[in-house]
Amino acid sequence: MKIDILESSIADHQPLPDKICDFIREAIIVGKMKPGEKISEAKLAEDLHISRTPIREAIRMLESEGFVSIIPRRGAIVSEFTTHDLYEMYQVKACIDAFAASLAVVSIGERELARMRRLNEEEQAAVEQHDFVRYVKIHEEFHQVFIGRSGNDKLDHLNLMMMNHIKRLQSFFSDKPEIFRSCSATHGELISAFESGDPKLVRALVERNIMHIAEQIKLYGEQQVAGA
Amino acid sequence: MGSDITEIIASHKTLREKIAELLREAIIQQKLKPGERVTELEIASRFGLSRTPIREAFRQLESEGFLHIVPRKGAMVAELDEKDIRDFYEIKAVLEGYAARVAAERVTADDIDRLEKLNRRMRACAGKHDIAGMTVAHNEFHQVILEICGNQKIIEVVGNLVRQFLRFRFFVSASAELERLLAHHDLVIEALRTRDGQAAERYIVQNARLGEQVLVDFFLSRKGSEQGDKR
Repeated sequence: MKIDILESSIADHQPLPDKICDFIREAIIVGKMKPGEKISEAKLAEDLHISRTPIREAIRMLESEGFVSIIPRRGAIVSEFTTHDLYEMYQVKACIDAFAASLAVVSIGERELARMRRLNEEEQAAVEQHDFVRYVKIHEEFHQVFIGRSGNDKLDHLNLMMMNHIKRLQSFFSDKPEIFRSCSATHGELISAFESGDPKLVRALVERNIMHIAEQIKLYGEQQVAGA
Repeated sequence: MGSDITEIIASHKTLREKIAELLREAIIQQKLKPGERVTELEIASRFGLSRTPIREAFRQLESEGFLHIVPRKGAMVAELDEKDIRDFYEIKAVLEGYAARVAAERVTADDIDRLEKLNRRMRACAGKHDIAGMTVAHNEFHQVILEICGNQKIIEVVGNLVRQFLRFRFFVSASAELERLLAHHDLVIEALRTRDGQAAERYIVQNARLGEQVLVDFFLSRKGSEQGDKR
């Protein structure tokens, strides 16, 4: 793992701690670093050819994002992320996305609607091909269209942070078509609701849709426990 | 191998925490004003510390929204504008509203007791003009509702957001609208007691909207007086 992170930090005008933070976060998201794994400052310093200070700063940033836990006398470890966490996160997402949709109604134009229609078609294609990891990705892009138009920057940022966590359990969705059975159909309904400009209906549809995903995740979690 | 770096991080935690607390209090009490620069060097020399824990404290305060770090320029006390306040309360209202709705299904007699006690404590503190005590009880009241709901993620997200607004909590608790805020709390308790989730959500959202209005008014009046000073 020899990456010249210092060089790339200078090239991108991005502070070194931020660059290291992105690097470690990505390793956690794609599963190169596993939950419970120790994060060794010394090893990172050696691998990345940099001093420990910016690494320490990056670890602190990752702790505040929830990717790293610092345990007294044990140090920094990659935080756990369970299906229960995923369930709770989708509940939060249901509230946030639904509200974002109701705010976005006034600023969604023909361009956004066209994009949503196209993504909805792609979603349906992904379902037919049983490519559920791709489905989750497009599903999120669909939501991003109206979240980006909500006008609330904190909401946008919050959603981005949650998606970084949700990506850690991407493989969870790969063999569970039931979770999304009703979703792409609802997106068609949602597009019509945006067209008619009804904030209440839009909000209700998004909340119902994502709460349904949350409940399905919970169900799987319970089955896992029962099966274990 | 060698010395475990993570141990070093852990051992730094106290020092970092202390520095963060010091700076946080200074910002909350407006001893450090929005836009003011804070330098590692100055704090390091004033307290005779090395710069590493200070840098870590800065990062923490940045994530809490107290500081704004500009690459190659250093840290300054973050400015909040009217839009920040509105964006914050919108999200707080949505998540607390949902938590209240769920809480109505789960609430126990003990929970109701706790909420009533907190509301009584707020009134008692108000009578004594104990704004700090009132603020603690106020925060706890809202925290209890999130805890009854039980979603850890909501607790975390709302906690992070609320922390960014701690420096203004005094103004909300001390506002002329306090009696209305407490009346909302009474309505929330009554809705939870009768397990009416929709009403609990409605009143908690109204409560957040009132908090927003108080802070926006405060913010605009402060801005007005600052401009007056400049003239």
